[in-house]
Amino acid sequence: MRNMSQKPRVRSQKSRSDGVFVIRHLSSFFRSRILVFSFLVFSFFSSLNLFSQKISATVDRDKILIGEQIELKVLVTDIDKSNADVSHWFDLPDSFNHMEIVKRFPIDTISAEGTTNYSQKIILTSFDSGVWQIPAITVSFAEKISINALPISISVLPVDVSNLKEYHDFKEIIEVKPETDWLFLGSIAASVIVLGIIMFLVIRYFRRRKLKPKQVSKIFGIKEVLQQLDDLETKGLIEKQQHKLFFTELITICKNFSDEQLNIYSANKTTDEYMLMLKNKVGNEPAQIRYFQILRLADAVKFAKFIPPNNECTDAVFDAKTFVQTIYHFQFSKKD
Amino acid sequence: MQTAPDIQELNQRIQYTSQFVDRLRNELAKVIIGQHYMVDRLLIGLLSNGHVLLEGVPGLAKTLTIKSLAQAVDGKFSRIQFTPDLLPADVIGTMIYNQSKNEFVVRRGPIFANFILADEINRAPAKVQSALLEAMQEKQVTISEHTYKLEEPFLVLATQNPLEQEGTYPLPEAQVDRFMLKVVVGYPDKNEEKLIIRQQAQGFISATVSKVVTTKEILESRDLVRQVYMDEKIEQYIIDIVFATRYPDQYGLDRMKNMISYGGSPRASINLALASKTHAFMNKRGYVIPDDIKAIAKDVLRHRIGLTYEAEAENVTTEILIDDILRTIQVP
Repeated sequence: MRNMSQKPRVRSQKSRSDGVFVIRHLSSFFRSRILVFSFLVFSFFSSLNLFSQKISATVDRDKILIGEQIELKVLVTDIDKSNADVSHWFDLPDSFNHMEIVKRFPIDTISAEGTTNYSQKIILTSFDSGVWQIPAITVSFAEKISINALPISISVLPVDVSNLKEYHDFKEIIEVKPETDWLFLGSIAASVIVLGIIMFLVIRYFRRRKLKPKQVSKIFGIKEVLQQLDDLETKGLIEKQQHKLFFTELITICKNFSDEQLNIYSANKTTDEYMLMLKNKVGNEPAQIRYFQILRLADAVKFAKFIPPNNECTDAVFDAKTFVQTIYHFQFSKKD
Repeated sequence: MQTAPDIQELNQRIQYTSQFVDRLRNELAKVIIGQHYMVDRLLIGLLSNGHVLLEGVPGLAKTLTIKSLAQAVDGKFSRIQFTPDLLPADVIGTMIYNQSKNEFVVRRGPIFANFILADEINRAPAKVQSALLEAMQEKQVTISEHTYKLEEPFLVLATQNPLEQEGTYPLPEAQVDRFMLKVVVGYPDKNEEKLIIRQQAQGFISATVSKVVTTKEILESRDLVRQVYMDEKIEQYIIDIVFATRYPDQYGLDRMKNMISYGGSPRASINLALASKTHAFMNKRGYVIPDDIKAIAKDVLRHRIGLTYEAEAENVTTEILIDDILRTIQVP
């Protein structure tokens, strides 16, 4: 009994487990179907979304003469950049199918209300007559989907040149006789003559200057200088109380002589500078030291209204004579 | 008008009075080796009542010389280091509140001294420079509502560093003109430098400067300096030199015409006359000779001649121009 009673229990257990299996199998079957279905629905709507973009390619005219230009405008609209942006823009070669690209404008972008439009203008021309086709322009989105514009046919018509006027032929070479510009030649000749005269005068001046004996030695020769000093003494400036004038003339005579003999310029030198120059040229001659004392005395007379005694004035003339003789002999001995 | 006997008498007085100049020179020579040129120019400034602008690289004993001069003259010395944050009140003084007396009292600035060393004057901003230069010109200072006379002798010796130009405020031409002399301090020669090394590096104790002249003597000497006789020919020579800086083409210096933007002002003539009188005084003479003019001309004129861009481009300095002028103008 136990066994009999046990068997149906086993059977019933088996049938129960079979039922569970069928239910499980059916539920997994339906679950996978639902997934596939939902995937297909999603793909459908996604593809609907992707295919919302539109492309158009238009030309401003489809018939041109050879060399005339046409404008191709490619417009891609309703692009949802967040889902699928343009991954590949069309690329026309510079020369294709008997047509040439003259100019490519940059791609324009217009964004409005969540969509984006791209457009590009291209100027084309053709130099061959016939009917030529602009190929279908392709733009890709998100590396997956491409859209194409329709190809465009362009008729390129030959130009009728039969009615055009003929070009003139080259003219024969005409021989031109050279004209003599007498005014120009005359002015050149005059300039040359004037320049020649100027050069001649300049050369003659310098030659004469070289040949001319030194004026200096005539005016400032030792005899003349001594004579000038004698004349100064006999002028009677001391007696007239014109000490300033007397010493100014005395120093001027001596300075002029020393300037010429020693080839120096003392007009812009102070007494100290002048004395230093003489020292450098002649050295410390006793006569020169006495001359320096005259210079100091002359400064006092000229700039401090100092009136020296008469004998000092006479001595000054004597010392000045000794100085000029010393300078003369110094130069004379140097020449020898 | 001075007569010949007047000048002779003046000459004798000057020979006697100017002896202190040698004493001063000798006293300064105890501490300053060389730099005779600078010392002489400072003495000219002191005796002519004119301020001196010293230009030289650091370390040429500028400060020491001025300090020693103040000691030798027994004057009050003060040094103002000019910095960008210095204020006019730091120089001239200000009113401060005395809590015990419950009142504002005047606190005098360092300018209240006989010898002022304005070190690196071009480092301070314009307002401080003008505060000092105003005091230099007026010889008085106004703090709050009170005006204070500055004590005589009042001598400002300002220094400028020619090397550093970053962060400096160069003195405007009008203010530089207020300095009687601009002295360019040079380096000592080899022998002088040798002595400096011995004195400083070998640890010799430097001598102290004694008082050798009183401020009273200085003030009396200033009166004598003004009496030094200047002949009309010398005056003409000065005028010719200054006019040659203004109108060089009139003196056969056409090449200089495009190099000078402005020449010496009448202040240049006045200062050249005064400085040459002082130079004559220091050389124990009661009258001016052309040597005095030539000796001082560069120091009086170098900061009073404006150079054009053309001159600067050709590296022509005011010294070169002054040399040219002195070479061209005939000496009386």
